[in-house]
Amino acid sequence: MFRLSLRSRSSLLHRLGFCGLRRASENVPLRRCTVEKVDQCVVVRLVSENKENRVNPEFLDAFHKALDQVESYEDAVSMVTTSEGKHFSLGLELELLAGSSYSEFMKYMSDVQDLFRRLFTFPLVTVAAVNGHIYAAGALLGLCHDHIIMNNSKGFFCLPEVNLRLNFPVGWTEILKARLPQRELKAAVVLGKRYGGMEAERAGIVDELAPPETLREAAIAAAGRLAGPGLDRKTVSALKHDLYRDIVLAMSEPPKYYSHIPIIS
Amino acid sequence: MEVEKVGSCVVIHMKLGENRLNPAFISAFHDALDEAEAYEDATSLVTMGEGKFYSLGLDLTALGALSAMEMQQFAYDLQKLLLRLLTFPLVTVAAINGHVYAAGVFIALAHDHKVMRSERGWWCLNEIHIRRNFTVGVLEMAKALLPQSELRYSVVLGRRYTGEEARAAGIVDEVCPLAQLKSVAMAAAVRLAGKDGLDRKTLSAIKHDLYRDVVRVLSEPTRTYSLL
Repeated sequence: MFRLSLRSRSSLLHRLGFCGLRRASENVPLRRCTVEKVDQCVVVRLVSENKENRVNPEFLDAFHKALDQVESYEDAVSMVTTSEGKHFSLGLELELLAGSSYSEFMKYMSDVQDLFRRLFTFPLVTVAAVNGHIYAAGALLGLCHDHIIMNNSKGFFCLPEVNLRLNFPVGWTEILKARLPQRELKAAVVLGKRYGGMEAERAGIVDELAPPETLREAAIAAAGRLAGPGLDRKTVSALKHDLYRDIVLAMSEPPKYYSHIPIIS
Repeated sequence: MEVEKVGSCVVIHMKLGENRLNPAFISAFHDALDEAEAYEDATSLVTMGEGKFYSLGLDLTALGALSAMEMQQFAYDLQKLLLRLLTFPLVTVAAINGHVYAAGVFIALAHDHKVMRSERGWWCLNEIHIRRNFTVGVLEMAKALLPQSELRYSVVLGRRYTGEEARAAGIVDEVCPLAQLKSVAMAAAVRLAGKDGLDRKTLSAIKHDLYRDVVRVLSEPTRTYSLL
């Protein structure tokens, strides 16, 4: 079921083009990953070679290493994650999905879930500074943060799975239900609605807006507002683990679907 | 605690200073609730603090002097009080006259309707600042009774809300100046109870069932999901 024929693989990629997303090339290395400390806030900037920040093994590895570095700063109380250019993150590397065996698929999705779980329970205050498009698994990545600040003019928030004929794994919908306003669920999750920054903030999908030129500063300010200087990491971790208990449990289980949609066309 | 009857509304005045939760407070509260229920023509209940405080939460000083067994008993008794309030057979309105912190928040949350004063006083779950975790019972209360979009700010990050901010966030239902608080709360109580009041057994049963999962965990021995 996970080994696609040549015909269905190109059909999948055609659907990528149909949705206006550029065709993803092979597993691209991270061009730049910077970790910069600003007082008690640490700014993590991840930029892939093709700038799409696809959540692929390279990206996951770089992100985990960045998170390790953030945690190593003993006086840090908050973290801002951001990228550069047109995209924040476009989600999964669909080429990897298309060309993988069952066990490769399971490994990939499991690793993505591990990152989601780590972010959800991260012992610092987390702020996603959304500089551009935030799509699919990239949107889920953003929703793993405590606070989302989006630029007010460029890029869309979107869960385009329905248009790509992909379902959400079990547990991912738990994240969406926990973090999206209930009245937006139908439009955002089922129907793949595209929200610009301002509309996303109005709908309660993102928490704050800022002009693109001052996004980074606004994110750092937000982090400072949300995190007291004496934040205790053990307490933060325990509180997040407990509030998001169902999500943590779901992300700890092997990836699976309630309803399976064969990706074969 | 003072119990005052005004028409069909019973007002419980919590007059123990910071209204901190300890065994004596819980016992006095139950007595006041018994008195309220005993009025056969009462259809609603308003609870209100005095001065600067609605309730600042646990009386950590007094609780520090308890033995482990006594502490366990107190924790269970607190859950039982919250459970009783949550499923009370009268319409309940919290008139939040001032600061409401930590465990005090859950006393207020257990009411059907919340009115908070404007200009002064804060609403805050400050557990994160004092390095404490929530027990399963009150955590489930928070998840059931607070707006979902505020959970991570209020429960995890210990955000402090003024009356107006709490109203805007959907945490309390109404806000008004202190001088009008009691009358606004009583007006809400009377409005919600309706002309003839609501049948006590039915009201209690519906509350019990709507909040079934919360009722269940409040009825179980106190525990936390994660140890801290």
